Amino acid sequence: MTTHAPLVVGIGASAGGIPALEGFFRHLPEDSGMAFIIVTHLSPERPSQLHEVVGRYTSNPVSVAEDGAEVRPNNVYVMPEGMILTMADGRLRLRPEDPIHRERKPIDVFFASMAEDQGENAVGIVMSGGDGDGTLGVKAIKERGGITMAQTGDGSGPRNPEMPHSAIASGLIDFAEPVERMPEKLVRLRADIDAFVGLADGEKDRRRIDEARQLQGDIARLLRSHTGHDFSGYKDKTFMRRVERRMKVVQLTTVDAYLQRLKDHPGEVMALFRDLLINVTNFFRDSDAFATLKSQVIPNLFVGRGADETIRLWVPGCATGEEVYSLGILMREEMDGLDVVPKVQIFATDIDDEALGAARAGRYPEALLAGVAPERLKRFFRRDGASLVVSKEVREMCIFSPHSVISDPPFSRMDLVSCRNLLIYFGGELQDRVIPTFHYALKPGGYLFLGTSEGVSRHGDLFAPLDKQHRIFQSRDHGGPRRLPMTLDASASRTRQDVAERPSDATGVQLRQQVETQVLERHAPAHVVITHEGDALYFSANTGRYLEMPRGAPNRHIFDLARREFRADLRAALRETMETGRPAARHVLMLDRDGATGNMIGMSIEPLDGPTGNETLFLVLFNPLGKWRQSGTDEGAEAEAHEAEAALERELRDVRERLQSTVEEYETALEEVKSSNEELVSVNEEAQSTNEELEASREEMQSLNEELSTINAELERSVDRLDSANTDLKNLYAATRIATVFLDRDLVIRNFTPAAGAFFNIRDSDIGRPLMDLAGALQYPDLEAEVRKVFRSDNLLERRLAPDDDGLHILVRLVPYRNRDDGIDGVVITLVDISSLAQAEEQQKVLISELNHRVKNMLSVVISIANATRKTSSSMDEFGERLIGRLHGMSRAYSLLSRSDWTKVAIGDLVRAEAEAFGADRISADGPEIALTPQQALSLGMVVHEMATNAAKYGALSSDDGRVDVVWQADGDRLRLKWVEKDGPEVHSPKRKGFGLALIEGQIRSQMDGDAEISFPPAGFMLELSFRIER
Amino acid sequence: MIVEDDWLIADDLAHTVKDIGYRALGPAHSVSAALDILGKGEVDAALLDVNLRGETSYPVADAMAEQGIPFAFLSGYTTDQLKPGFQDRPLLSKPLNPGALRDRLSLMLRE
Repeated sequence: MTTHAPLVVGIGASAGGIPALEGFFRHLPEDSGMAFIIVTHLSPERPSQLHEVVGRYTSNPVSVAEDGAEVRPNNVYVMPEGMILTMADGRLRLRPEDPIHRERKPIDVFFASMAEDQGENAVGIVMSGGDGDGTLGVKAIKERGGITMAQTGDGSGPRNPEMPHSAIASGLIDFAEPVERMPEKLVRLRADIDAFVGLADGEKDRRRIDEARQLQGDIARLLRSHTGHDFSGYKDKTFMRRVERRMKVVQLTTVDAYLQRLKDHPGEVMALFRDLLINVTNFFRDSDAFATLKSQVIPNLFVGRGADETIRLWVPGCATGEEVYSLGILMREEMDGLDVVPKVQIFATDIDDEALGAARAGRYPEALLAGVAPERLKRFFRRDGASLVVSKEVREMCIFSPHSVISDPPFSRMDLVSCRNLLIYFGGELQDRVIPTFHYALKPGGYLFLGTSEGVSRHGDLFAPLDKQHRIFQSRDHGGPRRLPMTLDASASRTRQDVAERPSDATGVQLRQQVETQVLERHAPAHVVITHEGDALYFSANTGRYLEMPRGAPNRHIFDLARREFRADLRAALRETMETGRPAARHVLMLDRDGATGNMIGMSIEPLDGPTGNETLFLVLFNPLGKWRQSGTDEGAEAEAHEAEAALERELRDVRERLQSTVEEYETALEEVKSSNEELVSVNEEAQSTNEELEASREEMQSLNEELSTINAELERSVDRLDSANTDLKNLYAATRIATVFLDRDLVIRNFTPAAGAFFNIRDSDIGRPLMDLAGALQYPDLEAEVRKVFRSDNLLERRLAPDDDGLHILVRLVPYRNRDDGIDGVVITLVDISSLAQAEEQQKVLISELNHRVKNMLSVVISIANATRKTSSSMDEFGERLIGRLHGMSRAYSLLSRSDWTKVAIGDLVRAEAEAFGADRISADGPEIALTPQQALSLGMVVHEMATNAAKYGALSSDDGRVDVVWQADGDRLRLKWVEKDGPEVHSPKRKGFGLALIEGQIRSQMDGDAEISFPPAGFMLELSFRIER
Repeated sequence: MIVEDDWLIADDLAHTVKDIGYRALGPAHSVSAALDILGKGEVDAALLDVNLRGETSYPVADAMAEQGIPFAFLSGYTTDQLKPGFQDRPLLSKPLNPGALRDRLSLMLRE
């Protein structure tokens, strides 16, 4: 035992590992007494500086691992790049990595070798990293009794939680902790380690062994009451190692404390239970053995089987299913090459429900499949995320159900029982019970496949080795009916007594033993020790007279072995002894050949005293009592009497013979009853097995049904959602007036809105046809090229088409149709009728140009007025006054026009507006309402303004009493207007015609095509004008 | 010859032309009046307002082009808004720039 060996701590870290390592080493005390080996995923191209980085966090020396270096406490070793690191004999081993097939699981590789080398001293820590590396490694460590830890997400959690999550999910992690708290746990473990020494291995200390025995009994009772599983028959060492491991994990150093904890915490009982069941069963574990199975056994299973027959396999203790699926794969591979394929059923049973759950799922982290050949992986597994799932064709063959190979009735009529690495956990007694169970379960000639360290040596009568090295055996058929081995009464509590180790006085004993031996051998009556079933366990010397070998296969059954004369009495006596517990005796006559003489034998059976384990044994003694002789004819005197006596003698002999034959008949009948009884028991067991199978398949069906209804519910929900989405879409299509066409990558119509139907002249039946065949009405020859451009550029494209014959303006928009992955699956064409927009644009253009034109014309007019006014003005003031007056006059006319939106202006309004500017009370306006065109209004406005200006300056309005009368009337289609001034100063004809008069005449004659007559009577200025009324 | 429907502008234009030193015929305020004047054979050059109260002066322009008499359009419109076929003709933009008018007239009436 490596009492003082340091803890060797393997640390697996990868992506995001540096902060985790920092957190770990910063909290580590200087003298921890532990060695640390860091394994990371490194790129072989880049030299690693990890040792320098880690060196900053700890005062312990940090070095790059070297081949052959001894692992010493308080040292940190870092795996170099491009190498594979392992451990053997307490030293590090390095070998170069194959550059082509790089090891993707360096952590698993190192952990596995460390587990093998260091056993209980190994600690595996899985920190932040990807790829699920380390899971298989911690499994190996835990199996060897080491401690496992994984980083959890408290506070500064793992940056990349894939690796620790995978390890925790496997159920193999003892401590899931933040890295900062791990050093403290390690230090406690290290401090407690001495307390455990010798619990499982202290052979020298007898007291401790007794203690341990006692403890195992106590714990086994607790386990049985919680889990219903009896571990009392497990190997002491294995059992105690598991207990020790759990004690380390819960950090208790005394067995009493642990026992108390078990009593207080049912959870701890379950944890121990699970630890006791740890069983590393990889796919094709021991590949040679599986190869032999494949070549030697599997083909034989199929020989002579028709398609309607079933090959039955049983895997008891299947754990998480690796062994089951390995067998399934082998069977499936064999079936591939067959023309006639029989049905294959693999019954996989275990008492661990959680393991069965995992097995049923058939889903494994890639790490656990490292040993499976790539072609098998490809053929029989389906990748699903980071895990691989067993293919349906293999999965279908396997039936999983909870079952205990120890306490439940076995299955039957099996062709192969594969039970690898389960027996190693059983003590001899349990093995003796389980192996006959397998024999019972198998058909004659069926195969038994065990783990490499297991065997059936004590049951050579039941199994014949087929391949010793790989532990493949074949069931022997031994004549008589198969007996179901007795199952233990699980409720009976048994006290184990220690026979082997009774202390004794050595010297006196030796002589006595010699004497006793000699007496026994030479003078003691012949005897046999048997079980209550009648199986002979021990024969003394000189039993040959009473026993003989029966016909058929060798057999140890006393009823078969005993000479015929003894059988009936033997049976009766045994029964009597078993019932009373006291010795029973019988006298039996063994006749010689002649039938006249014989020997009288005293036969007695008594229970064997002394400790013989839990089974009562019986001692059968044969004691010769003396010669027996038929009474002779000697005196002869009383002949009659003699004759009568002889007759009686004869009669007695006849009766004896008859009795003998009756006894024989009775025995035969009894045998027959017994064998039919056994047959019945076996039929019953078979029925029970069938029932188990039915139960198993019912569970399968139930879980399948559950799964199906879940899937169905999900499907229904999806269909509902799809339906409503579809309806929304349909309504949207119908409601939108925008023509939209969906095309796929080949420009085939996928869908379109009703509005698009009119544009392209397409109907529902055109869905699935290329749009280019149908693109009828559209004036868009570049459509196809531009759609392709959208595919290439991934951008939307907008194009305004030239107006068609009907003056229809269309805006085309081509938008990429994106699928869920944001890739382009097609194109969406949208057509929008923008004719009204185009019209409005056109109208606006016209309006602007008209406005432009009018403004320019107006400016021309203003410039002309200014020019003329300037020429006829004598001073700047006069020029300004007259120009501004004229412009105001114009603007008044414009105001009226704009009030009526440039349509018509009433003549009265025009005259009155002008009159108001000069004093409305002195200008009277009178006439019917006649509408003027804008042009007429402007011109007449100017004329009235000139007249009024003139009157104010020279005419009637220049005096205080002067008045102006403006009257007009319609005369047919002409308007006649008269301007008459009264009561003003005397009027003279002007010497020169001024601009005012020229403007009046010009406006009326040229502009309005009218007539104007101006006269200057002395009473007042007078103007008569007429022009055409435009209606 | 001056063809202009607005009396004020036409009157001003006639004065300007006279001031520069030419004899102004017209002003004509319609196509028919313009064609009458043209028919008298005294016209050496013409200034044509495009819009004449509901009609255009293009017939006058056509007649003048036929007789090889130079003319220039007067308008608030721009060249590209003229009727196609007349867009390469000189255009005097309203309101008239007296300098531009003088240059155009002397260009048209070069002996």
